[in-house]
Amino acid sequence: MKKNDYTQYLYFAPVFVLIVLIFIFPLCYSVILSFFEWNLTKPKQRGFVGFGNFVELFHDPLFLPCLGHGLVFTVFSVVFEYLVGLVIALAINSRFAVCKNVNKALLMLPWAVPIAINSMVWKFMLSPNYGYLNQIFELMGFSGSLTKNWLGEVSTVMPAIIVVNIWRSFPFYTIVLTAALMAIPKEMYEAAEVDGASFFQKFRAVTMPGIASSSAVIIIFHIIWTFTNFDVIYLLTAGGPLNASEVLPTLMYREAFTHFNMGYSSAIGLFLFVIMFVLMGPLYTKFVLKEQ
Amino acid sequence: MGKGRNKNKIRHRGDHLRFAGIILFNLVALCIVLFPFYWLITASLKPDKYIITRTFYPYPPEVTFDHFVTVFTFGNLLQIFMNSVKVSLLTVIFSLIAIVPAAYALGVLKPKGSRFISRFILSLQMLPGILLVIPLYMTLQKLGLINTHMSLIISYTTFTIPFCFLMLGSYYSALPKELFESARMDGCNSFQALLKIALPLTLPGMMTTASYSFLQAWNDFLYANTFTSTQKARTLTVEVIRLVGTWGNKWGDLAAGATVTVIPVIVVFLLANKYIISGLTAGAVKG
Repeated sequence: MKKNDYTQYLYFAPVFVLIVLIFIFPLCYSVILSFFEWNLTKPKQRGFVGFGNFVELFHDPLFLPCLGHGLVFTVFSVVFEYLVGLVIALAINSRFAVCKNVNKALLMLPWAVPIAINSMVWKFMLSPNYGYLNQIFELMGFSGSLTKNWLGEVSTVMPAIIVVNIWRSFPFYTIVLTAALMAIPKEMYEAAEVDGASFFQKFRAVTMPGIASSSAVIIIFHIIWTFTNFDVIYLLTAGGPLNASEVLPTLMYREAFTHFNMGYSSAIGLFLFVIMFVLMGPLYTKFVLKEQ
Repeated sequence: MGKGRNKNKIRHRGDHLRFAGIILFNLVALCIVLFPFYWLITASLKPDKYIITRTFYPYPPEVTFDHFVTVFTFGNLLQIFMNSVKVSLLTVIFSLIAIVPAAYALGVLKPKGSRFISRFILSLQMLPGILLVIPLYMTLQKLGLINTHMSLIISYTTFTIPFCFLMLGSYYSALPKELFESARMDGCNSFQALLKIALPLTLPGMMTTASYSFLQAWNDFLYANTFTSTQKARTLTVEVIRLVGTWGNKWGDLAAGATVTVIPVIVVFLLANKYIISGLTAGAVKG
């Protein structure tokens, strides 16, 4: 097979067509739209507004809260998902663990099941009157202090959403970290034990370097996925109550499909993309693409 | 759980305690992970009065199939289930048709610029679905594809490309080059070599890709919710949300619909989880 046989590029044709059709073209379309006032219901008021949509976005009273909620959502989700995922991976990988494969498969379930269903089930669990969480707290004697309308109160809505998101996402970390842990040669632990290393010393000197690169990859992916996540928040609260859980993706969706401000919502989307690209792009290139 | 095997693991003082600790921790983790599923299945079998109640029932005091009857007879869940099956299976087929040749070209043929193409495809994983939903919606509307399954299938197929490409790519680069050299000597062109040599050898990779694409298509909510609204086109994830009713109190119907939605996921996942897990790890760990 000659190196410069141009027919070889034909193998990329289907992927190329799809990427252009579904990724590149809409992306360009979105960039163009974001410079237009473009309401689907008001055809007469459409027109080029330059950076007008972005100026409007920065002056939107919901802009900073959305950014803040998104940041809180992302930071707390990713940190705790990682910690939970790692602790469970360490437990599965421990020499005392039993039924490792069954364990892994069962622990993966929240990740494999549709978000729509996870979210609805949790919406019930967290509901104020007959939700299981409140009932469990009541049985434990915390009636009043810990029986709340978790998704309906401004002060508890973000923590509640974050917990659901952690529950749903940590299995991914567990699976990847278990594989990384298994790839660390046993001899390294044995050598450390011979040298009299304690559990924490072994963790620092052997485990941490062993899982560093896979950790970087999953954390980078999850920062991107969490900050741009739409489904979990939309399904649990749709941004409420009183916009207390509003993030840029839910704001964008509502602008587009409730108010039909396609131009404005494209600007929100583009802003989201640019932040991710500027902040995560270099890390992505360094840690994810480097591996290829 | 062979007791003897565990005995061998217990070598030091304090190991009994550690063993018990690990098992206990593991059980607690499993309970937290599986409890919502337990609720889902039991709620679908309980009459409403045992769901919407302040009394905690660890098991259904009374079993009924009313919720399933309701969603299938009044809710037309069967048609929507078939919509999901159709969309997911076609997504699997399309994504295999698209990804297999590309992975083959990059892993085996390696034409000039392969590295760039591969990096480009992988960077697309950074594109969030929410960003493209507006321009895609407007384009599909112009093309008259809103409320069609084709709109969902082509979108899902494209979104599976980066990840599946990564997973399948590792299978293709692991194929020994000599195989293809000798095929060429025997007069195979590169396409025949793909069909006769590469495809049979990368079946596990294709299984991974297929099950991953299936789950992606089956589980998606954002695009399904945006691109389809008619009953003829709707898929399960969108329908299930509606089952809870206008007053938000038909949790039994919701649980029945959700159980129907989850069962195929669990079947696919349990059949293929070995492949999916190894694929995910190959994708994210790499080396």
